[in-house]
Amino acid sequence: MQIRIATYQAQALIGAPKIHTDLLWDLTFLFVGLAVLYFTGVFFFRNRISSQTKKLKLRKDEFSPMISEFLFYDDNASKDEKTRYIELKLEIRQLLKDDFNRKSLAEILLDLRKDVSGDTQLRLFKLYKDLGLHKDAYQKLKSWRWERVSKGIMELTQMQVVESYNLITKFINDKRSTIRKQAEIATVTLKPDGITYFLDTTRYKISEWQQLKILDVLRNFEDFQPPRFKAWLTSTNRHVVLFALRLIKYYNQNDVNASLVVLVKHKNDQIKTEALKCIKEFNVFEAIETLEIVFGKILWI
Amino acid sequence: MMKKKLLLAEDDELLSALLNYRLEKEGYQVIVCRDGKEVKEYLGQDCPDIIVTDIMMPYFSGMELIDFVRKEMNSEVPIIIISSAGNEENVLNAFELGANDFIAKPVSPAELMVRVNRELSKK
Repeated sequence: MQIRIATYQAQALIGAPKIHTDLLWDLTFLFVGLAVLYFTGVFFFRNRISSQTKKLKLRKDEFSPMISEFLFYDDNASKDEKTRYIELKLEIRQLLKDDFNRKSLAEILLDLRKDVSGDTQLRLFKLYKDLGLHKDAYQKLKSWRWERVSKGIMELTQMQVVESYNLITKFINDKRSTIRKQAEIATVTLKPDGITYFLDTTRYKISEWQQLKILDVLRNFEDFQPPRFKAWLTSTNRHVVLFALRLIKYYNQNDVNASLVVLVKHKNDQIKTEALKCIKEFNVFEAIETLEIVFGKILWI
Repeated sequence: MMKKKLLLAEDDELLSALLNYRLEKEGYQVIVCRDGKEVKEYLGQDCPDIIVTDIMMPYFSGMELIDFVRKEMNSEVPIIIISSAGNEENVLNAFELGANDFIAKPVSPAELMVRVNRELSKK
């Protein structure tokens, strides 16, 4: 009998809760409505993106012969070619009145920039400015949206618009990290002495990856005369000190012995390690005494 | 004078359009193929005077193309490969397979012209 009661009680415990049927119907309609809305949204945006892509592809097909003609136009061309060139110029100016066309053309030029080098690349940069596409990038710098500002900086950097240097350096200490990092690369890329301005100005951390990217930019400069990086070993930003030490080692600037000895006593372990690497690299014998004081004689056994 | 036939195998539409324009301006008859299938189809019908091919291509890579031309077609047509910088291993393999020259991406159209003219003058 006791077992029967227990079974009965257990069944009561797992019984379905009483919910009003109307509420269930309301919830069903609500979720079906949300699902319809969701799928409509996905369908709408998907279609919009694919139609934009198609439109862009058509524009690319339309613009690429024009761009080729502009890039390979020779001043000694025949009369017919000159006439065709002038006609093209007028046509493209007309097309550029449309925002989408401007956007497409800028994208094409940015794409091409990665694939061509030498004289053609220089002509590409000139064409970008001649068509006034850099002004659109300037507008992007004024946006409140970080991704637009970042894209603007990237565009101006890739198309080597040196005139934008002063506009971009303002973003070096921007609190939004993506913009800041883009501005750092731009500052160093656009002018060979940009590295000096960057190291003088930055208040933020310079990540290892960012250091590598900046070094890569410097390495690719033709006839780059590196500044004496020891000037930044006394910076209040420890990341600048660290980066300066790495640059000193990379450019083999071995006139920094006294500064290196001082840095061995630095409170930051990373700076200490980097200073030790430089001391080893440059065989700084005058550092031995300080090393013994800081690390003790045990190190030399 | 008959124009020299140049087969340009490059899947990047913008770059191929640009190189096509430059090569045509130089006086070549350019046949542009966007992928390996198109290349194979063309080579089944005709043989160009020179081939300029990207290493990375859909369906049939530049390597396979060199191998196909040298072994299956048994042709000595000059082949210039286009390869991204830092792709040394692929470039060396391409030379082993029988490529004549290579040009690194980003491509300088002027440099490509010099290389194409040089290869053709060797014939």
